[in-house]
Amino acid sequence: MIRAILIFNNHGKPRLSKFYEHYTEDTEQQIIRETFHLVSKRDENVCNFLEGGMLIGGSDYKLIYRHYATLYFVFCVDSSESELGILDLIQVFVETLDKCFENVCELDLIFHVDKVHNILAEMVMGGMVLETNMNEIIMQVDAQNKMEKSEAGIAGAPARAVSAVKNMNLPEMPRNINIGDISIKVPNLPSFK
Amino acid sequence: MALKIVKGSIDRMFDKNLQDLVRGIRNHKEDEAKYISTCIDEIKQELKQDNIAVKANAVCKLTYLQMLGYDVSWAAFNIVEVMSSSKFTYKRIGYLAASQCFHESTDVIMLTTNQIRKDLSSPNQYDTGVALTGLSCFVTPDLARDLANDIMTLMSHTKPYIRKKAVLIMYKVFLKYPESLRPAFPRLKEKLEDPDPGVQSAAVNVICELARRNPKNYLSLAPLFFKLMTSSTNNWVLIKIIKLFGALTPLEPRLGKKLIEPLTNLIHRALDLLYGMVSKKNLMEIVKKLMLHVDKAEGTTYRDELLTKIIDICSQSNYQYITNFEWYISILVELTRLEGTRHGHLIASQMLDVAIRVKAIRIFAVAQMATLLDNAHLLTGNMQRNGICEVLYAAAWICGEFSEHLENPMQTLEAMLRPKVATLPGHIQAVYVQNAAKLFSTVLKSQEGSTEGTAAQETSQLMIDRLPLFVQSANLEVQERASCILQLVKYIQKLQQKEVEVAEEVSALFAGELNPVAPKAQKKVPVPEGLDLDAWINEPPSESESEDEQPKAIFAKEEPKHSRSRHTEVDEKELARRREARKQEQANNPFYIKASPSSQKVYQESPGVEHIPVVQIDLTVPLKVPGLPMSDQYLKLEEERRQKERADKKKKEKKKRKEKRSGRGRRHDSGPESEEDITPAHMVDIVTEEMPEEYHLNIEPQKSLIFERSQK
Repeated sequence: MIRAILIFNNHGKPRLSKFYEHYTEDTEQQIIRETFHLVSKRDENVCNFLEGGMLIGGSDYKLIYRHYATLYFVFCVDSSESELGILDLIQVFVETLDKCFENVCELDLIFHVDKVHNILAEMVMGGMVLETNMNEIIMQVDAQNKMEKSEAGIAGAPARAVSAVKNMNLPEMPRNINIGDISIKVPNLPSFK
Repeated sequence: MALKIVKGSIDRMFDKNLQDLVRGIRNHKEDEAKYISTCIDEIKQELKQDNIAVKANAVCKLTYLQMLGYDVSWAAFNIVEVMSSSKFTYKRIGYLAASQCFHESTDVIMLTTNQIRKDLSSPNQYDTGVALTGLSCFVTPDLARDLANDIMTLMSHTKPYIRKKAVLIMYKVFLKYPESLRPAFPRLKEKLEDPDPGVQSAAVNVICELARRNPKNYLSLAPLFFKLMTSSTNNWVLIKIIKLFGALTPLEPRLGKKLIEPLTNLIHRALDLLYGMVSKKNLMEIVKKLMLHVDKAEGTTYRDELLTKIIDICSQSNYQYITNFEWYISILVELTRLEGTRHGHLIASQMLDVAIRVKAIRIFAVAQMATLLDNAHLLTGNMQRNGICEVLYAAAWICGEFSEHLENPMQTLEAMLRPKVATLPGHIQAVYVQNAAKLFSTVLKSQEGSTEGTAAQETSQLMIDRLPLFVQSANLEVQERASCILQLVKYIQKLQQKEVEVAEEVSALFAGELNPVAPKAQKKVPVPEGLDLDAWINEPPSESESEDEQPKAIFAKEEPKHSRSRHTEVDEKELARRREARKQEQANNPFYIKASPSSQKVYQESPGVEHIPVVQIDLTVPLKVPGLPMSDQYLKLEEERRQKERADKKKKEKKKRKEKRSGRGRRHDSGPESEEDITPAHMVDIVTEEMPEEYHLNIEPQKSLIFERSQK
């Protein structure tokens, strides 16, 4: 059984936290900090498996982690799971994210953590491994994304337009647009915050 | 009214969505807490709206804040509202929020029961899926009790996607509401044979988890799992099943036995991987780990496999990956502590190989081997063929051959001559005896140099005292070597009593190094000019020796008389002359041990082979002796012929010949040492005689191979 799945960056900021056992928010934050401390001080070429910290269950649980660029992916598991199997699962997870986000990077996880949760939900359910085949996972994720899109439909247009405007980087817009002999002065709009 | 709606819509346009929230927080690094509390106020406002989209958006933001550590349980009711949206998108957001923050003490959880039930029976599989996923995180005993039946039904849903999730969630349901296990179990068992592999995996997963908690209830499923294990290619399933068997086997020993074969295959595959993984850097680590396994795997054939594997990976590519041979020798010595192995010869051959090839390591190796010999009583417990006692073979040889490196040769010599040695297998005793002689030579050398004159004689006496035990051995090789060496030592003792310095000459017995010969070495030796290997070297052989071991009945043909008479003529004419010449030679040769009266008697009987009627055979017809390949048979004959000649020529021998051996018609030198002893005139070693002198050294090792072969 998997007790928790954590993704945090090199400074310990959580990018995703999924606990399959109930803890208060404070305890959850403590666990994240403790796990970060355990994992971040490890060298690059040492083993990917280590004993869980006190808060997460002590020596009955293991932390299996992988470090990708600026992110640590950590799975906290008990003895019923195979370490190498979980290591493989992490790899499948990251590759799936890569497929879904196209060259996934930390920013994608920062701004779209809900999507990451949706992908994870197709792989691990209630702390047990649900699916390990990447194609199968992606197929389901895509199908649900389609549903979401079809539901948004026309009604979603204004919201998307507003989003687009908000995503524009207004300070960068040119003050003057010159096309031929037509000169347009762009108004100074306040930036949307 | 319309204006209100428009205003509302415009307001809504400025609602932050998740991305805005995240961006906002990143832009307010200094006053993050303040900013977030503003956002939470906004969220509270949004949650007051009727619009479900707005609520969903708010809940989505709350989920993010929960990850940052903010308590959002005050919004539980709203989360339930969002869960009950008809739109999949919002429903999903609601269930995700619930899975992150609902728990058993959340009061509104009861309100979700009906909604969940509705979702479980939704025509949209993704609605069902999302409900199951969410439920798996916050299921309570009440929820489990109320929804167990619905979930059980879903285990037989048409879509494998749903079946998979339903099966998996049953475990959580069982945990919270154990009474649900009994009615659900038969269906769960069915799922083990579901056509969809994902569903099957889920079922295996669930049952394995259940079995870990309560192994004996699931023992009856063992045969089914065994079948699954042997037929499945899915690694996850295999891992789970093997872990399950790990929990079951303590309860059912027969299961353990049955598992040996498939598990051994798996382990072999894993070990094979090791072969390719090894490098100079990691070899020692890997072997260390394997040794740990070896320790744990006491008393199993698996241990033997590990042993073979360890030696395989160490010795591959001519020990390419070994950087420290002392380490390897110590590993080998450690491996000797294994009881019940059938690969003793493998360890022995490795020790020999390394000691011979790696000169630098000889001192270390010899020290280790001497210790082994001293502690031989620990190893003599296992007398079976290829058992660990085989290493004594290597130990004795290494100590003998490289005795100059021994710290205390006298001690080792005594260890090799202990009476208990006679309990070892014959071939090992033979090596002991031979190498005792080599050691004796080394000891003599050091003792004669010193001022203590008696020490050397005492050593000789030690040999004379201890060797008779081996002379009486039932093993022919041991007997032969022991008796040769005994005679030699007796002679040496006599010389010592006359104050003659013998050490130099004794060590000449064992001079020269035995190096490994490459398998193709013989081919590389160019045939010297004038040598025709296909021509008869001597007269074509007569058949007088053949009757020594073959009963007359086999051979029906008779050779023409003239060749026989020619041979007989040679015998009669040459015999006396050769005997005289030989006697002269022997009298001058200090190393010739005059035969004892008993051996004399025996010897005198044997040369009377002329009395035995001889059957001529036409050797152009290949002989078919059952059990021997063709070429061996020719070789044998040639050897016998030479033996016969030697028997006729030599009256006195250093080696005793026993009656019983004459039946086999075979006589051996006890090894290369004897070859060096005998001056060329007496060596009826036709191969060396014919080949040019410079190839003498090459031929010797080659020759002994032939001897080795025919010894078997």
